[in-house]
Amino acid sequence: MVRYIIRRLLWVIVLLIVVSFVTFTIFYLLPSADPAVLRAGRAPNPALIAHIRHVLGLDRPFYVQYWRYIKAVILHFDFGYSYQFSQPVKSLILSRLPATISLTVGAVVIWVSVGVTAGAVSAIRRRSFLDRFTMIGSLVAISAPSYWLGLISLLLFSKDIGKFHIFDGANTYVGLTANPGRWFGSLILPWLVLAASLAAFYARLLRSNLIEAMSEDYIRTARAKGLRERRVIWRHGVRAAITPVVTALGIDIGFLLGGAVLVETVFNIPGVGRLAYDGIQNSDLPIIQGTVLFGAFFIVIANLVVDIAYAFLDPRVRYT
Amino acid sequence: MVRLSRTALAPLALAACTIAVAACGSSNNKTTSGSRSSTPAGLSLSGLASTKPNPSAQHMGGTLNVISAEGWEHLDPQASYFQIDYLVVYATQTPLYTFTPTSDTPQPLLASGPPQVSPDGKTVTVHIKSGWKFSPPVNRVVTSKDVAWAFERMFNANVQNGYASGYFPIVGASQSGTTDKPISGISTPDATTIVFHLTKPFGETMAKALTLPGTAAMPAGSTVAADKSSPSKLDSNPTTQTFTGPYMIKSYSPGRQLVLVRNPNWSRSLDGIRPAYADKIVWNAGADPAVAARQTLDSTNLLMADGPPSPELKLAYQTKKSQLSIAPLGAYYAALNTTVPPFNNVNLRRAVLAIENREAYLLARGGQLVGEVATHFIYPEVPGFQQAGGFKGFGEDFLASPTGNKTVACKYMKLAGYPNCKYTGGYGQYGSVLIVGANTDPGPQEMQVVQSGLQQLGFKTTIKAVPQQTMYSKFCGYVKAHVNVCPTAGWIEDFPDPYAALFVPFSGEAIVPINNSNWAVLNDPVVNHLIDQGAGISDLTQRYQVFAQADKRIVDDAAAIPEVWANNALVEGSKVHGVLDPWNDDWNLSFSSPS
Amino acid sequence: MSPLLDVRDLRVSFHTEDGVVHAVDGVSYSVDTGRTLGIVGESGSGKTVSSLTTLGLTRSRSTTISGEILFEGEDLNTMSADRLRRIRGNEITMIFQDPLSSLHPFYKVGWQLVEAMRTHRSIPKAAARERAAELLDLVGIPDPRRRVDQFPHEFSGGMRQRAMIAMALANEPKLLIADEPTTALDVTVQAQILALLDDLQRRLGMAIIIITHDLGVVAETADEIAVMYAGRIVERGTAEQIFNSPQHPYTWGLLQSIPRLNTPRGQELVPISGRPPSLINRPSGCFFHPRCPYVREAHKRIDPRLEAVEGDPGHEVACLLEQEVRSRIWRGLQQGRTPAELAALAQPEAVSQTGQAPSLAEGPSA
Repeated sequence: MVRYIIRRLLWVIVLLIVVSFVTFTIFYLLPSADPAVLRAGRAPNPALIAHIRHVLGLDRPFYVQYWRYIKAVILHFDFGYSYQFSQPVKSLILSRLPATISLTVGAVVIWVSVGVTAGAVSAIRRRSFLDRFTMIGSLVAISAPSYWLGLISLLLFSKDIGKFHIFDGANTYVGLTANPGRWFGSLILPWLVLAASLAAFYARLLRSNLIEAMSEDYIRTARAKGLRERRVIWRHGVRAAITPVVTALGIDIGFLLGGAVLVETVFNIPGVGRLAYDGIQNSDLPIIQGTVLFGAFFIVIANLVVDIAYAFLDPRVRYT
Repeated sequence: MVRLSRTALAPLALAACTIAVAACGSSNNKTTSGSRSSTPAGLSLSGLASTKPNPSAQHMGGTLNVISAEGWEHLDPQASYFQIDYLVVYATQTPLYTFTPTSDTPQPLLASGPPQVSPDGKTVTVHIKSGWKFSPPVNRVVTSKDVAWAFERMFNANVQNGYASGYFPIVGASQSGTTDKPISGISTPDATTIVFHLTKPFGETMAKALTLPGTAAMPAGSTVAADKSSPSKLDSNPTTQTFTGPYMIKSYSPGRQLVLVRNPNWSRSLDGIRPAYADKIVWNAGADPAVAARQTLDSTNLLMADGPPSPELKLAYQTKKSQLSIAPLGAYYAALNTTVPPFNNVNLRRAVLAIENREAYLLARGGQLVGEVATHFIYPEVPGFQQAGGFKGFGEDFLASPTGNKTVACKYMKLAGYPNCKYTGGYGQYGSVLIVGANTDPGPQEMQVVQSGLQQLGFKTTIKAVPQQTMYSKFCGYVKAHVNVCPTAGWIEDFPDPYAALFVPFSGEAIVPINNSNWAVLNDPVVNHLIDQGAGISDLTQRYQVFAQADKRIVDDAAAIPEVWANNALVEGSKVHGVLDPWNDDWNLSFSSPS
Repeated sequence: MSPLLDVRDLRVSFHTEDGVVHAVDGVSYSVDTGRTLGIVGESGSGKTVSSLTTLGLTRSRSTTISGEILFEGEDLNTMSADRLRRIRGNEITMIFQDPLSSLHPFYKVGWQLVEAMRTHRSIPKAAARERAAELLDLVGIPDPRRRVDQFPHEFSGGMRQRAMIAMALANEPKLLIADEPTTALDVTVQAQILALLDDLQRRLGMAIIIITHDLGVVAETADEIAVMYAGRIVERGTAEQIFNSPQHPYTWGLLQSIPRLNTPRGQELVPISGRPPSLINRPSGCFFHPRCPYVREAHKRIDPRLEAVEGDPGHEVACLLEQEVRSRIWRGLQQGRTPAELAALAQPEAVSQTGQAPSLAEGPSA
């Protein structure tokens, strides 16, 4: 197992280098805006543009630019400077990370508890009203675009612009250490919106897997042993059906840590996703590179963690 | 040109005529009283928010809350060149002159009186007020050397100022170096006098350009270390600036939040112009525009610094008119490349102008609320608009019909050598007419309007939709790309003067290979001369006359299809008094008050 | 002594979208302490359903159950679910066909045994674990202390079934029901498992019901045998009675289809033609008539009852053929004749005309 993990970690590094190269190339080749020109404003002054290009290192050949970038990343963990904000990319991303983590963690707790419970109840009481209601509701929640859902939730429930003044509205986020009460209150709606479609997805996933698991022979054995039905469902059925859920969970967490752009935008949460979006809008290559690499890193690590967890969950799986 | 906020340039795509507006669709030309307050025809502006200063009703104190979708680009006054940035810079710094919410002639701010321009237009002398202090910890009085230092910073390439060479043709000044070095053409005979020696008779126009934020004084010698970085550290870390305005930047989180507090060393009586009501200004950026607009409308005390998206604009117009303001913004046109086939022939260009349905552009952008069909290139909020024909324009036959006129078009096609009214000639490197526009609304619609007109005249056309930034930097602004038509060209003036409206977009002298804003690549010696000439005239009536002639010549050259004279909309909370700077089309934080 | 388990006229029907499935249609059997009952039949005969019903595992809204299931005098059919649960896995246990899929793949074998124990009695975990190891030892698993911490997939097929048996024995049941315990195993392992069950019964004194489709499996171990077809018992008796003088044509078919070592080479196995009937639309008259080589017209209309076999107390059969006819046919089958050849013997004309069945030499009469 240890050899397996080490091997995977080495692949992580290779993968991140490939990702950074591809991002760099895409940015370089596709006709996006010229960052030097953007920074200069609409100035009729070619000398200034040339100067800015030189400062940003854009006058060097493509491979030189890439080499300088990747060297700085690997040797000094330095991700360069944002074209737009002129601040180190690393500190920008790290300053945004707590918000993204806050958003992710809270949403995870909600969607896992709601999704697993709803899925289990639906599977056990198949074709009941509750089951049908949950499945149709989850279909709606999955289909609803999160941006729209965010807007609707604000228009219905936020204290400032909503019909019912219940939750804190957009732009109220503060850090956990600054004001825990406000931090929590500002995140309730975003958590619910983010968790909505995911809870729905997990409910459906668990439901179908649990239905399958409950028809397995070991469930019949468990019942024949005289176990209480609740124990049969959870300890035997859900325990078996949970594996794909855990796999999906790991990947979803990894993905969200890269930034949930739409939810962060609607609620104005200063997370990594919004930073990435701004970077793209402004052709800010260092930010784009930085957020892409962070996002890729989280996803790849999440994949690794999930694979390892899988081995613990399912003893039949062995890694060499 | 001032870079607009993104939401202003990607404008209000309302469904036309969904708002109950009188005379929707027609363009009866109302005359206007004063160029600034020109009313777009057919629009009911009654009941909208008053955005003028109202000293008897505004109260001192409190916190002003600003919200925006856009963040700040450059907060260094010597680099600042974007609409949103100006709100901060004009509240924290003090240029020599300024336009105010009620006057469109430059008022002396740091200066003590009007600039003295020599008869030959090549010398400008400015006296500054005595006793104006820098903010803590510098604390000392501002001198002429500090003003000179501001100019030296503007010409330091590291500071990345975008307009210095264009508006300040000072002897010995060039943007090629990366240090704050003395400029030979600036002299400071005493502590309150600065003299500028120019390379050409540009004094009158430069006098107006002295309202730009780059002229805000900085303590001489204090920024050498900061200016070694590019952009300067004053830009990436604006809390380290020294301030001369009513407010100071207390905290700054890039793209997220800005807090301004009062500058204890600022004197209201010395300033004489800015009332500075609020004690504190908190600005949260990075909001979602739809959410922010609603929050603003539902609030008592928010100001939204960028425009609301169209559904919220409609909501405001229908239910909260007293919190909405609509004012003229700038002009949109479709530039025709005059240097490459097929539009290097003036009669062909006139034919195109004749056939185009310019009302369709207005509808594509949203109809009456958004503006007027344009007829020439000096637009309603620019002084000199009336002299340039006002809303009617110069009366050329190829612009007489806002919906297009095939007969007139065919007349010009014949003149161009195509008697059958169909183009059969050659094309440039693309083998057809290449039309490049923004891929966000209303770019695609506008490109289709252009295309349908061209196709009626038998032109082969190709459409390319790209992101807005790409359009600027790699196609329409890049001369070598030889794009034939750029239908989403737009312009606002840097300061209210016809020079600022015409020079960069239409003068041959403003053409640069990259980042070009003269998208028609027009280089008509007559136009160039008229603009140059007008720049040197101080008598306003004469000045405006000459620019009107330049405008007419540009129209006759058919360098571009005049599309829309656009309005800008802003929303505010119910109790806050938002005061607008018409020339920037955005709030003035020193004049607005929380209550 | 009254039987340990006494099933009386059990009927189990499942209401499905396609119709009512009559899985068990009036079945009665019993088993005494220390005895082994073998229930034999094809899939769909109702043998498994009747056992599952005993444990209450078929109870649902779409199931109709009637009849009595008396366990030590108490009717399990009318018992509350909770009380029944306390008996299940405790006094009556069941093991199933495929031990790999019947054991939970994610839990250690020892853990599953401990769970079985701690469900029905309060016993500290350490003690339960100790007992789990003992049980594994009891069923003949080598190195039981190490095996207790292993997962099912680390056991071989035979060992897994032994572990299942160990789990079923954990609470010292009075009745063990084994549903196809050897079907998924190699032939050699089959024999070991059957021997194990036999041995455990002698040692622990419990009753066993073995359910199987293979008569060969119960040949050595069963005391009594019940043959089921289409939800009914068609023949019942002691193992000797069934093997020495089987009465029902279905039973003959089962016996004939067992491969034997002493069968002459080249002689084909004689399968029972046709397939098990639909339990929704059952055949008219005698359920077996569509597949019976000896069917008469009347059999298509008359539904036979279980009746005693003359001269053989305790032996019952549900067949409309006369006993004498049956004896002849069976003798013929034992001599190697095919059912087709013997079919004529069953015809009424052959009997009535001459007063006796035609001689075998003549073949079917004209």
